[in-house]
This record gives sequence, structure tokens and C-alpha cells, in this order.
Amino acid sequence: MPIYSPSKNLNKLTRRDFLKLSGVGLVTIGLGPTLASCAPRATAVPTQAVGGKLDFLSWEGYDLPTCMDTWQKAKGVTMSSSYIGDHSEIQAKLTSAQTVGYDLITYYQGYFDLYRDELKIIQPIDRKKVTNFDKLYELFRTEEFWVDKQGALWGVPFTWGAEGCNYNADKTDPPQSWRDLLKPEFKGLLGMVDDMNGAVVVAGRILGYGDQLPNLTPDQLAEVKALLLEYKTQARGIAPSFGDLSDLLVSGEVIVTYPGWAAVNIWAQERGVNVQHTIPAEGGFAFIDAFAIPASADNVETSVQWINEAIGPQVQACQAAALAAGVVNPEAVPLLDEKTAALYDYNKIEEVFKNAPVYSLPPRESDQFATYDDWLSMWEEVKAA
Amino acid sequence: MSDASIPTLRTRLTRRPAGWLLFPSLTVLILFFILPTAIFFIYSFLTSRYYRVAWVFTLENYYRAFTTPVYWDAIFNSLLIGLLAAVITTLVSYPFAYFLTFRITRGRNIVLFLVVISLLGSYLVRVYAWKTILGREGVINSFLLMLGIIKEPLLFLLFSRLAVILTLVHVFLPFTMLPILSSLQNIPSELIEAARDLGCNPLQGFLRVTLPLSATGVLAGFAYTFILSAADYITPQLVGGTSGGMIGLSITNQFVKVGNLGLGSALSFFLLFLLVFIVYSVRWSARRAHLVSNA
Repeated sequence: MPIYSPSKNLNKLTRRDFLKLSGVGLVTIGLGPTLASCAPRATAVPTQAVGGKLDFLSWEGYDLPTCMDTWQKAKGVTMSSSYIGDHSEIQAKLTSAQTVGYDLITYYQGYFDLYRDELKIIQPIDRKKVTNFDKLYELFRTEEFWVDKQGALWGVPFTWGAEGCNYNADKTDPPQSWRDLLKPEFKGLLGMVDDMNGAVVVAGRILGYGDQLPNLTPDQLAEVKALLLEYKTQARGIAPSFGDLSDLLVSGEVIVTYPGWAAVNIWAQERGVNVQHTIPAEGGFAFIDAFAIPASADNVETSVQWINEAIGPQVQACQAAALAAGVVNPEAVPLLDEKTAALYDYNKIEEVFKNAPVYSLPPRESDQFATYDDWLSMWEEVKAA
Repeated sequence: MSDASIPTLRTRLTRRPAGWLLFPSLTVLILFFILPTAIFFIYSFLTSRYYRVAWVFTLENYYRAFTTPVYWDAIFNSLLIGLLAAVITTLVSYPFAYFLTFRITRGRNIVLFLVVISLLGSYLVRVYAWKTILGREGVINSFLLMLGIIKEPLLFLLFSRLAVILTLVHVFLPFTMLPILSSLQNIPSELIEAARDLGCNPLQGFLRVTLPLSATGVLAGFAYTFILSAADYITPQLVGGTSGGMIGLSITNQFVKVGNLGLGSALSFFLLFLLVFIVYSVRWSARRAHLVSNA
């Protein structure tokens, strides 16, 4: 009967053996994820039960932590949230790390075609299960940014905002025209923000190309660049985010912005500075963010029910206050606090979107129009100039 | 058997190859640095679209990297800021490290502790702190206005290259100071005394003995600050205002916003090549000037 002898076995493990074993182990560890990423993606198995972990990827706050807490506890759902610093991180992560099973993301309306057609990183949502969807304002139900031509639902809008111009109401009157910001009195007092889409769209509207946006010809994009450089000459700084833009207004570095966002008012007002928001005569633009379910999601049923709850009246009113944003469900309007309700005129919501329309992104490839890459290169040149 | 025939522990250790001691660090280096770097080097010669790489060889990425003016502007701005930050940091660090090594006897460890503890502060917090100090209504402007020295706030303090360089110098000062300090502390005092005995005055002793022997630490600190400053893109965004973009931001844009991994990789290697070239040029110049023999 063989007797196990620890010392004997230990003696057999020579340094050379140890190195070999360690090498094999480390190579296995190193190759594991590589091989796994090469393997065909595991088919997500949708379960009918609601509960468990929901892997969320989007902006901080879009997981609605306080607003959804009660529902999540009742359903046994725990959120595992990863936050982004830039919208592009969503597609970058979903395309490069396919083994990471995010269950819920959000997208800005302009990314719909890219996510659905080009990258194929989102999946259709069973509309019948999103019962609150039919209660939304009509414009949020019918837009082409989440419903395809066959009527399939790919995204569920849940928050929106209008981008115009922020100004310190104690130090200046509301600018009537975007061109007012180029006046000498605003030299060094203008704050810009590193929002390429916003900067180009507003410049396009100032130049009278609002009807054809985002399809600008290369010549028109050159005009946009020249105009943006004029604003840059006036600017004190280009804030990397709207939060930093709010800091600039609060610290007195700037008193007007190009562009701005209604939410900035609330952030600045909370810190005692009377910042207001206006949409100058040439107009602004709006964004609508929608929840979507990645193609590789594991917990689909919970995602669907979570989304349905998030567009219900109570949660909508809560998110509007938390994010300083608009609501998509009219039943939420009476539940809004005074400050949040004052952000947008819900009695004339169509007018709000007429002054600040929503746009898609420029084409990725085109012989006729400036592409998304052209926009990005131009914006880099403006910042580097 | 005589004692001389028994190998001592030291001789046994030196006889046996101790490569396995390097094994953990080499493995980490290979898996998490060399392998990814090699992958990105390959990417730089491939076409890519929408975050995905196609196995089609191309030189287009390098062509665009070399011929697009905005990238040259960003690289020039990055190298200029990196060089200025590294030079200033080195010039500030050296006298301090010299003083700490040769002039202080009491409290040296406390001062050293204070230098090291500054590394614990968050990078971003320090950047935001400078915003508060340099701003229109910041500490410096408020103080100067209160004293009546200025009538209007000094706007050039914040959102300028000055602000970027000041912040980077503050952030990287300990990283430059520590290698210089280490190299100075390794200089045997007998060598300095011998130089003095042989007729060198203090300045000659410093130039002929202390400086050449500490040049390795100076170059290490300089290179560290230069490379990290030139590749930084967060500080210029927060305190640089409209003073120009950095190449790090262009690289990030290609990887994250455009999804052109090939161009992003080509720009990265372009920057890497320039950084290595400059660092080695500085080293070569130092050797030519006989400041350093083997650094």
C-alpha cells in the first residue's frame, strides 16, 4: 500500500518543475480570456423570472439609484453599475469586451442606427411587456430613434433635455442671439464645453443649416469650423464636461456658455449662483436618452421589467428631479416639484422640441456630406488651434 | 575538509542562476505590457472600422498620423509642455535633494516623509486645487486684490499653459525628487572630500564629482516627468483653457469615440518614438558633456 509522503513529494518538486508548472499555469491564465473572447458568444438564455443581478453601463445617475430602490428591493434585484465618462465608451466596451454581460445600457438618440445596424450590439425589446410605453407623450413613442420601420422597439426613452445657452442672470441679460456671445463684453467670459455634437449643431443652426442637419457638406462644415473658432477666441476655457461648465459659472470664470444645458441651472443654483437657461433666436437642440438591452444580455426579463418601471409616473418624476431633466410620461408632470417643473413648458412640449429639435449623428460614410470622422477631426482642430 | 572548501551562502547564491526571482515580475511585464504593446503595434498596420480590426495590411494609419496637421500641433504642444514641466521639476528638485542630503542632519526623515506623503494625494484633487488657487476669484487673485497690488484679476494665471505647467510640476515633483535624492545619497562622502583635498573649490567639486555621480538619478527623474507630462491630457483639459490640445486626447478619441484602433495605435507609437528619441538625445548630450558616463 503506497504511503503518502509529503516530504518525498516536496522533494520531487524541483525548481525546474516549479517553473514549468508556474509557466503552464500563467499561460493558461493569460490565454483563457483571449481564447474565450475568440469563442462564439454564448447565447443568452432569457429567464422569465425577475430578479438577480442587473449589470448596468451608462452615465452615473442613469441607474436611478434612489428612484428604483423600492422596486429593486421588492423584486430582489441588485444593480451592478459601471459608469462612463463619454458616451462612446458604451460602444467601445460592448464591441471589445463581448464576454462581459451587460444587461442594460442607455443611448443618445443619434446612436440608434449605429447600435442596431452597424454594431448590432442591442436587441429588440418585447413591447407588450413594457406596458408603460403607451402612456408616454406621443413624440416619445413614435420617433425613429427607437422604433424601426417594422415597428420593433429597440430602445425606451426615459429622460431628455434641451441645450441652449446658460447665463449668470445676476451679471447679464439673457442673450437674444447666439451671435451676442461674440460681442466684446463677453470676451474671456464665455465658457465652451467639449460637446462636439452640441457645438456643431448649434453652429449649423446659427449659419442657417438647421433644416439639413446633420447632413452638412464639407464646405458647410468649414463654415462651422470658422464660426467655432470665433467662439473659441472669446472663450475662457473649454470645459471637459457640463459639470465642469457649471463649476466655471459658479466660480465666476464665465457668465455665458456655448452651448449650455438646462440641468446646469440646478447644479449652479444649488451652489448659490443664479444661473438660468435660454434658447437664443437661432434655436438649440435636444437630446433624448433611451434604455436599451445589449445583444449579449443575460438577465433580459429583469431588464425589461426594470425599464417598464423606470418610465412609470413616480420614477419619472423622481428621475427628473435627480437628473434635472425632462419627463417622458405626462402622468409624471403633476408629481414634479416646482423647480423641476419650471425647466420645461410641458403644456407646449411640441414647441420645446420645435425650438430645440433632436438630431441624428452625421453619416459614417458619405461622398456628399461630411462624415462623423470629419466632424470629429474638425472639432479636434478647433480645440488644438 | 577545510573551511575554505565549504561554499558560503553568498557564493552559492551567486553561482546559481537566480532567474526565477525575476519570474513573477517578468510574467506580469510580458502579459500586461509587452503582449498588449505588440498587439497594438500589429493593429497600427491594420485597417479598422467601428472598433473592429480587419486583417488587411495598410500604411494608411501612419500616413495619416504623419501628414495630419492637427496631430503635429497636438504633439508639439504635448512635447513642449512635457519638456518645460520636466526641466522646471528637475531644476526645483535638485537643490532640494542636495540640501536634504548634504546640509540637513536633523529632521531629514521628517522632510522625506513629507515629500513621500504628498504622493498620497489624489491627482485629480490636486488639479482641482490649482483651479481654486489660480482662478479669477481664487486665492492668489483675491489676496492681490485685497492688498491693492492689482485692480483686476490676473486672468493668465488659470486656463493657460502656465497653469498646466504649474500643476504638472506640482504633481510630478516627488517623482523627480526621489530618484535624485537616491543618487545623491549613494555618493560616498570620501569622494567629495578627496576632490576638496586635491584642490577643488566647492563649485568645482560639485561640477566634477557630485553632479556626474548623481546624473543617473537626474536623468531618471527628468525622463519620468517628461514622459508622463507629455502623455497627459487631463490636466490641460481642466486648467489649460484654450491653449491647445494634447496628443493623448487625440489618441483617446481614436480608441473611444471614432473606434479607429489602427490610427489610435499608430499615433501611440508615433508619440512613443518621439519620447524615446528625446529622452535618449538628452542622455547622449549628457554623455557628450561628460556629465554622465554610464547613465
